[in-house]
Amino acid sequence: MSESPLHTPRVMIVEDDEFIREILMDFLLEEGVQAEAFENGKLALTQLNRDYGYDLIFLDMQMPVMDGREFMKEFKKLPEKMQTMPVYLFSANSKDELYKELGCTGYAKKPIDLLTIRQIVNSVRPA
Amino acid sequence: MDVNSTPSPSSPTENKFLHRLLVDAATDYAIYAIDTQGNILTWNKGAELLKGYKTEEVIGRNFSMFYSEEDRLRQHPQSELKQALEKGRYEEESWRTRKDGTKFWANVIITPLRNPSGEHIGFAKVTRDLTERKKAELAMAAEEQKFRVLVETVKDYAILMLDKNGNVTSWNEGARRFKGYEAQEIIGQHFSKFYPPEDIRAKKPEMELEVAQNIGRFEDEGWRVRKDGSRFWANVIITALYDNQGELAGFSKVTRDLSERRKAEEDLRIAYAGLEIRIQQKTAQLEEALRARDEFLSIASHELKTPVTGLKMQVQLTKMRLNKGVVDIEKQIQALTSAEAQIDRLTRLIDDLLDISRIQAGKLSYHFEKLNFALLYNEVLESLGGPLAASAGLSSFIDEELEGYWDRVRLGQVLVNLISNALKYAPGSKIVVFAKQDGPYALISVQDYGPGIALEKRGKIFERFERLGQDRNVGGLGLGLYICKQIITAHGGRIEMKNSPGQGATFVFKIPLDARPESVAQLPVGSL
Repeated sequence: MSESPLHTPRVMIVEDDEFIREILMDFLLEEGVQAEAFENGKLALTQLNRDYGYDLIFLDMQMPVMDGREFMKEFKKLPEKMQTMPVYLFSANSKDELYKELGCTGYAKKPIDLLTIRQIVNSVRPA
Repeated sequence: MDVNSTPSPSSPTENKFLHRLLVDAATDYAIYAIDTQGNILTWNKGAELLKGYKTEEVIGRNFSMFYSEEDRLRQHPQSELKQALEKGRYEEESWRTRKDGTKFWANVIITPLRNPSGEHIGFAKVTRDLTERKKAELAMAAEEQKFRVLVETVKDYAILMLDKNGNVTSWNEGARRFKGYEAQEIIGQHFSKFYPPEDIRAKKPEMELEVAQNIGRFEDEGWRVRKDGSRFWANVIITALYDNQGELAGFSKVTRDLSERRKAEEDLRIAYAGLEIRIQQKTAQLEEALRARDEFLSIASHELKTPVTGLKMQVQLTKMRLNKGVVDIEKQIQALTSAEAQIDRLTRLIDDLLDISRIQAGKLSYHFEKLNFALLYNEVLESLGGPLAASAGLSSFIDEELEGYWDRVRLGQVLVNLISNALKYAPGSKIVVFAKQDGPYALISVQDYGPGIALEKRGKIFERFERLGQDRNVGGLGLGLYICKQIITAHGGRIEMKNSPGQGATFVFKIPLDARPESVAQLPVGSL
């Protein structure tokens, strides 16, 4: 994470649905955001252990191998400096409170509105 | 009235006269005097009423006239007089005859009469009519006899009498049947013979009599022993019996054989316990079904929302691009193509849901037509297109000649489901499909080399809402195999899952070549 005003936000997408992943990537790219997508929580964690230079994580709830819930458990074990990283949960039919329970920053309810995504991304852009 | 002990002012002559009047007037007693030979000397009013003879008809005649022919022949009247003379008194009760020939039960007392000098001069004879009492006694005896016969012939209860010490004094048919002893074998024996050795050691029979004696009655249910040593479950009631003086006379013992009832109760208890277990099992099944349904609803909404999410974002993105005036035709076509794929995906999910509700309502209809399996199979591969191309490879061993009467759409659906499952649950694995004729059947298998299916899941994979994956996050409604099984069954066939976990999964199904209902009925598929 950098405090430079010229910094382009870097976003991690953890989502098993290929179609959603691709559209999000396209959209974020067009928004001028650097985005990387991972199929499941496990792949995302492996990446975070190597490189934690992300400004924001979009996390799907239901995924094979490692779902959103498991991911958050593991995420909590990562070094403290990473805990400031905002995590937004994609959830299909969960109660609004689920994101709090998992310790996420916020959530976007499916079907996801790209305007919501834009707002969230803008919130991490340097002023 | 005792005329002798009451002091009287009257003269002895007057007294004799009074006495005479008294005897004459007595109507309930026949009182008359006879001489030493039995000839009648006097006759009172009671005698007249009782025997029906007037005074003039009997005076001077022998009193034996009142006896039966038989009694006279055996000299019974003379014998009575002789005994009266010897013992000072003779009393008897017997039947006597009236003048009109009717009988009455008479109490007769004959007393010798002596003059003041002690010389025997005759007899006084007092007769009472006790017919009513006799009748009552006879009636009672008859009742007792009937009752005795009743008790003796009762078959369903052992009814017996014990003396004060517990020895058997009477035995009925029921006792004979339950306990196996004949009356002559058991009368006089102690009733502890009917008890198991452990009860005898514990002095239970004696205790029972003691309780019956103390509180009047003893009741018990327990094991009793037959003559042959076998046991039966009995209800026993012992009642203390007392004589007229209130002294213990013995005991009555009524025993019922409850073996049948006990067995029926036991059977009922077992049946009830079985029922309870079945209720518990059913409840567990229902709870499981509810849980599966809830999970299904949650999965279904997730599964439906995912393509909807993709579509919404695609549409939004396209709109944003158009708003910005950025029009990249190639990109737009690509976007619409993937949107179309999402719509197809959504359609398949909705079709599955519709199929389920049709199957549940029994409304899934079939159209059987002559098909070439190889042609149908190629259509299926085409429809799978993209995902299939991305897989490690599919090997097909299809009998080109294989033909039959099947439902094109439904059979295609089965193949799509089985191959899609292999692609989904065994990603990257080789998939092998076999199809050949096997007698009057077609035998088809779809095999993968993925992780296979856990043993505990095997029994349930063809049920509704069950998903193959151990991971609930693998997409799918969990309806595919359920629908497959319904379709194969409607084709008169069977579908099974083979192999062990870790060795991949093989789904095999066998359907009659002619699956039209009228043919299927004659060709049931056995095992695979």
